Amino acid sequence: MAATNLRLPSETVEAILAMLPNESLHRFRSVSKSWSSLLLSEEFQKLRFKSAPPELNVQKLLRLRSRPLRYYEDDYKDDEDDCEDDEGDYKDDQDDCEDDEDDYKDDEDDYVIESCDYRGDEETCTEVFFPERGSCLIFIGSCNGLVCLALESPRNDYRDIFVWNPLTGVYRKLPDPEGMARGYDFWRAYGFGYDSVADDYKVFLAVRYWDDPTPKPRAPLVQIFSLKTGSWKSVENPNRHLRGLREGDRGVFLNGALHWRKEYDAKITAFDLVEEKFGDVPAPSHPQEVLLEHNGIGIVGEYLCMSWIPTPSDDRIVWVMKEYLNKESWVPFIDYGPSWRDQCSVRYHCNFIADSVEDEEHGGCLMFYLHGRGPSTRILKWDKSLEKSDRDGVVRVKSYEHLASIPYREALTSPYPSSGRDEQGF
Amino acid sequence: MSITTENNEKMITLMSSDGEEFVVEEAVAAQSQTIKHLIEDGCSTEGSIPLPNVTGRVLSEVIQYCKKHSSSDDKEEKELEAWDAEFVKAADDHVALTDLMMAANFLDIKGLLDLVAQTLANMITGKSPEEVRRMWNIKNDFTPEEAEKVRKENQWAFE
Repeated sequence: MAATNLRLPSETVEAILAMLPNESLHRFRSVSKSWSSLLLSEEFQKLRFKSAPPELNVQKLLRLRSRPLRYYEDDYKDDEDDCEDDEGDYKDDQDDCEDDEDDYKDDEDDYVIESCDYRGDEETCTEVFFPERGSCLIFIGSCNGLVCLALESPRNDYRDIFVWNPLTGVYRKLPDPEGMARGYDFWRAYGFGYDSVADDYKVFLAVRYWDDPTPKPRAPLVQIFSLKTGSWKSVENPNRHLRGLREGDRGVFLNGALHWRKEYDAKITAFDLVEEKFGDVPAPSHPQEVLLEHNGIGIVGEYLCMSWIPTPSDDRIVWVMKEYLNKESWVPFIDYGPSWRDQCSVRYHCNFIADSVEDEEHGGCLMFYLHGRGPSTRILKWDKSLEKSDRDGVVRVKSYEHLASIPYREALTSPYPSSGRDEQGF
Repeated sequence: MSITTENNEKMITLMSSDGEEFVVEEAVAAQSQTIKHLIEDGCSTEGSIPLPNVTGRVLSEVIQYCKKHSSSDDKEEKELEAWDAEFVKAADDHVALTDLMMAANFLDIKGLLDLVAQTLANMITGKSPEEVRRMWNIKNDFTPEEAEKVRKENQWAFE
């Protein structure tokens, strides 16, 4: 029966579309202009997080790893054999083998980005493609389906910043901040998060420059980029708060603020993305002898966590702040158990940085980079209350060389929010 | 004047857009937030509540749903799920479901709205944009250039 008058009122369209998997939503952007703008809107993403069945709201890990065997291919001239052996495992490496000489000139293609799902017993990873290439890629942050990253150009040691939606493939290259002197910066700290008051995504960039021509460092500059306005804005003198942040550090986004751990004094600096102001967040008390340059910060469930390497007298390596801003609420979460020792034989070279990936059954998984034997990933699961956890961890990750990772949630959020939508052609 | 049954249940009368009257227990009808508010505002004390957006055919289905859901408690969750599945199966074409969806939306019955939304979502999950447009008479208002642009961005979703 063809019902020529049948119309779907807009409020019911939302309710139906919120129940659909990402692939369908993606496809239905071409139904009409109003469907397209609905699907890209912040309101729709929020409705979806609230009402969609949990299996559609999966948090994944975006992971950067180097392409294995490339170094060997370059080292040995008779790499023909290598290539044939590899075919089974790395189908897409074939191209690399054929034009090896070309590859040799620039090392832009020696990393792969994968999207990994940890819900099952094994990780399942699929390669995702970011069209821009560089010699070094840094994940800055992720929020509601958007991933912010920096790419270093192999030519001039300069990093461009991008905001990318890995699901839709839409990305946006940010302009240079005003006063940016390409080539004279020697230290950068980053962050990416959401300002719920302005309904805007913001990129945080702190830069220190060499004063030209005298080789003397200048005071750091902090600038905030708003995806809505499409422009950078300077922030008042941040010097005290930035002391102790490491080059390339990315802030952890929680409760509307970015958090960085400070080297050497185990403190936490925060930047409120709504107020655009710095502040301090209490850190857990740490053992005297702990090597603070190896501390890390991350999120476990909905809590801020801090980690450091174990000391001879203290095995508590990961702490969780159960009540935000309450110093007394820091509790130990993970001990450095026997199975950890096996994994990480050179104790002092271990660096624990926690990233969590939530799933619906468990609180999530933790990723650690164990530098003792080259970086690797360790996955733990815990329940939402943090009471019960598999604290010894399960290593069930294929042994890729793992360079960096960031948790993210798939959503259709556009890097060009409403005011900037024209740039996308709508 | 409201009617009461032998077990002292308050009854109210709902009138559909095509003039059909349904006498139901107030507790059943009050699952609709819209009707509940009308009752609270005193609109039901005299005569019946007119529902100009809902036909008799759809209203009888909605009442069926409300009756089932007001008489069941949490223990019967599994049974209720099975009943829901049968219920949406009975209205199996998208036209009937859309009517039901619009009624659930107007009457503000969250459970029914979610149930029908999920059913319609399952129905269109694998469909092409063109099929979806045809289902609900949605006009494709993209210019060819815009359509091409969206298509390019969405390439993998068409595979």
